Amino acid sequence: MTYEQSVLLTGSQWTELSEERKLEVLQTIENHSAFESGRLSCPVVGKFLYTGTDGVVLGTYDPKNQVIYVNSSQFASDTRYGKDSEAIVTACLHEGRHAYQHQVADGIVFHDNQAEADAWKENLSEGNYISFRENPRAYYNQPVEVDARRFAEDKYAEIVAERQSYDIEAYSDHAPRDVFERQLSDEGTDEAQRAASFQQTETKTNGISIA
Amino acid sequence: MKERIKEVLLQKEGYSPRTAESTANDLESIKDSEISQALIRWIDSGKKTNIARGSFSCRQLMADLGMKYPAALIFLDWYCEDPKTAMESIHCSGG
Repeated sequence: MTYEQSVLLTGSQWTELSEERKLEVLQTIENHSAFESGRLSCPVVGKFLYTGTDGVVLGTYDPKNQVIYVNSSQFASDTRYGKDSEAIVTACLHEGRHAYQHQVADGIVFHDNQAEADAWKENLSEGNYISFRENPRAYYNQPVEVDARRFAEDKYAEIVAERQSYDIEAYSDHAPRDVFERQLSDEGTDEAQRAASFQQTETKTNGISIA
Repeated sequence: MKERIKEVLLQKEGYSPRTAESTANDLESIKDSEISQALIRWIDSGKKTNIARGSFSCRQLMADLGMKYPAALIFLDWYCEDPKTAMESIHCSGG
């Protein structure tokens, strides 16, 4: 899956995707985000995380194994955060930012804002990181959490803008968008079949026959 | 009071000095009187009063989200003051 395809699939098609396909979208976005920030990408894994009447844990980052977990209970469209992609994609971006912060603190990746890098390193050092289970309020307000929330919100807004621009490009190319998106979300079709099928559909739609 | 809270957090709950400092500040700033009384009771006797606010309770927060008792008290007080942000904090509570 290309990044452009994954961005398109975060739109109206999201609710129709299978769990496997949603994870593929999230993994593609994670790979792109990691590449952009010059860090190592993490596997994105679906896992049942706490899902209560009011509170739902959407994502978590395991720094030891460098894995991003997203709450698979929120993949179904009839769940609290399953109605669109925003909450789960934002959570994935948030956890990916934690991977970046850890890699900056460990000296693996260079972060151009030295003051921020120093703040993260101090925050993540032994005895300084405040876990949610110890103090939820201080946890929420510590530097690495504030930064991860801001990053994820900004990045999701970028994805929405990119999606709109891809949609506009698709229209201006006279591509039948709904058919194109249906092709993207078609799980059982490989890339070559999908391309062939799309060409065929496009030909029919445009009323052009090739002898 | 703050020093007593810090001592309990450090010695009985295993908090690091830095986490104990910030948590003692937040516990001392609790506004809800019932939650504040539960804190004093816990500091004095170690007894945990199960306070409930909205759909949350100390017992549930400890069992479902793994919170320590003082963390549950802070969460409930925060939930009374700013429910939207308190609930949002759960989204990425795993770090």
